Amino acid sequence: NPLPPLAVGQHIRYIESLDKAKDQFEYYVSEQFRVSGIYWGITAMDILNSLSTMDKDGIVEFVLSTQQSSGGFGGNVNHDAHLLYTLSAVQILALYDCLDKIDCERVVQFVKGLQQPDGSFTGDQWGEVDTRFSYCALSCCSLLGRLDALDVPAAISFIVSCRNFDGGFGCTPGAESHAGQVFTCVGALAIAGGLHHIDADVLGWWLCERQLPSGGLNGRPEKLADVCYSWWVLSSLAIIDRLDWIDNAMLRKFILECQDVTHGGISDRPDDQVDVYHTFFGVAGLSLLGFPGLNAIDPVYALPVTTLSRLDITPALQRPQPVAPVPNACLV
Amino acid sequence: MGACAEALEDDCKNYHVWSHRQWAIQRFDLWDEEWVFIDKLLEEDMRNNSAWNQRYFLVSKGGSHKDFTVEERNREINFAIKFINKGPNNVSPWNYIRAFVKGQKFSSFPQVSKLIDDLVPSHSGTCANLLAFIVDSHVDAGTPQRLTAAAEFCLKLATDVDQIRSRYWKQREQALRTAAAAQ
Repeated sequence: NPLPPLAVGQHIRYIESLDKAKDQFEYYVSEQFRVSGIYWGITAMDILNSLSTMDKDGIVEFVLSTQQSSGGFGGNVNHDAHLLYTLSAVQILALYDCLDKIDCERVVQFVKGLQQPDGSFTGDQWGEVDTRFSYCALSCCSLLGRLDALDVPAAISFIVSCRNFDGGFGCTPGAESHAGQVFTCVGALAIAGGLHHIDADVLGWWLCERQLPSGGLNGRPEKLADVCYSWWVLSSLAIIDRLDWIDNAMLRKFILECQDVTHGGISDRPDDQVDVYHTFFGVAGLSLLGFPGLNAIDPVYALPVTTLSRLDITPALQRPQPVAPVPNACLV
Repeated sequence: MGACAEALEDDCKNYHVWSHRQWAIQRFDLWDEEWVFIDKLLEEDMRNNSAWNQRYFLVSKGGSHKDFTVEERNREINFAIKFINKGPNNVSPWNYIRAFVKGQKFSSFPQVSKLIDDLVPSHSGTCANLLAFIVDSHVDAGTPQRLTAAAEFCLKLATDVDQIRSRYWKQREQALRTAAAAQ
């Protein structure tokens, strides 16, 4: 079968249509993470070279209206503040160069207040700890130029405590290695200057072992391929300078086969229903793979490279290292 | 724990359920009953990576106990070998063995050499996990001859048995040949 082309025009129209889809069931069941949905949509549009067609003023006004008195942002208007949506809000404002529209210190205080004595972060006042929230906190403060507000050594220490026997990372100490958690931990360590805690060869092998015969990537051993891992796995590999350990052509093929070329959008695997989350991560994955015609995305911050240049943020990525002379997969 | 078990019946790999179960075990000191639960899950599906991780969680007491005794290492390695013999194309028990060899030499565990010898006749042409493990055991020995042998297995993986990861295996092959020559 011939490889489908990247249906850029259809994907652009699909993303543009999302905010008008108020007659759709999906619009309402995704209400609680609308802010994240907007981040996925506009970042995808930037990668697709079509950000200008989105309603910047309307989006910024909406995002600002989700900020709570605590300084954090909720997933939608009048929704409780949470680190997940606080990061998405800051990412959107950073992308649109509108960080000056918020009192950054209030946001920083919200984030700082969620750090625990062991260096971990809770997502909100109700106490769930997860390395995803470490990433959100570090990225948020870094984008706001206030990484100094956090106890970074303690944050690093907690993330390292989540490193497992197979070289991967989980959500909490002892939790199963999962590619999504690996991204958050590797990204967080990159921001925090702690990448030397990672054995890139061991983790790189665990990550490239996610690739299945279909070319797609799964998130853990013996699970199904899913387009979103095109981001979580690929960005992690890019950060540790092992991106070429994935078969580029096979993964491109898988992502392209997950498109709905008629109506636009990308789904988790071929022939499933599309959504903006998988559309973003599929397009972001293709960008990391060097697919022609797409704008570059930064693997640490999951934002356009141009945004980070404008903010003058250059995370200290692991300097390119040759594969260790005597790599030993036992060394964790 | 009952609620977690019920949820896992529907979706035995659900990440959030396992996370909650680990919290409950630590919070209420429910370590002892978990062994039987893990055994049951692995008998049902030995490819359940969540269950393998949970067993490591138990043995390491949530990560707080990492200096395993010789008895613990042998017990866990033997446990994994049992499942590898049932089906070598399942990466979880291979990673599990690595966890308990870590910090020791492969040669300290004769059952590991025996496993390799038992599987090579039937699986050396098809089982990437086996060949990757043989690479690691040669690397662990560290002599120029063993490093060269490891490089040969990397080449076989790159060109034949695990082609989708050929770039990884070719880089390892090159590094091993360089290391062998340097000795």
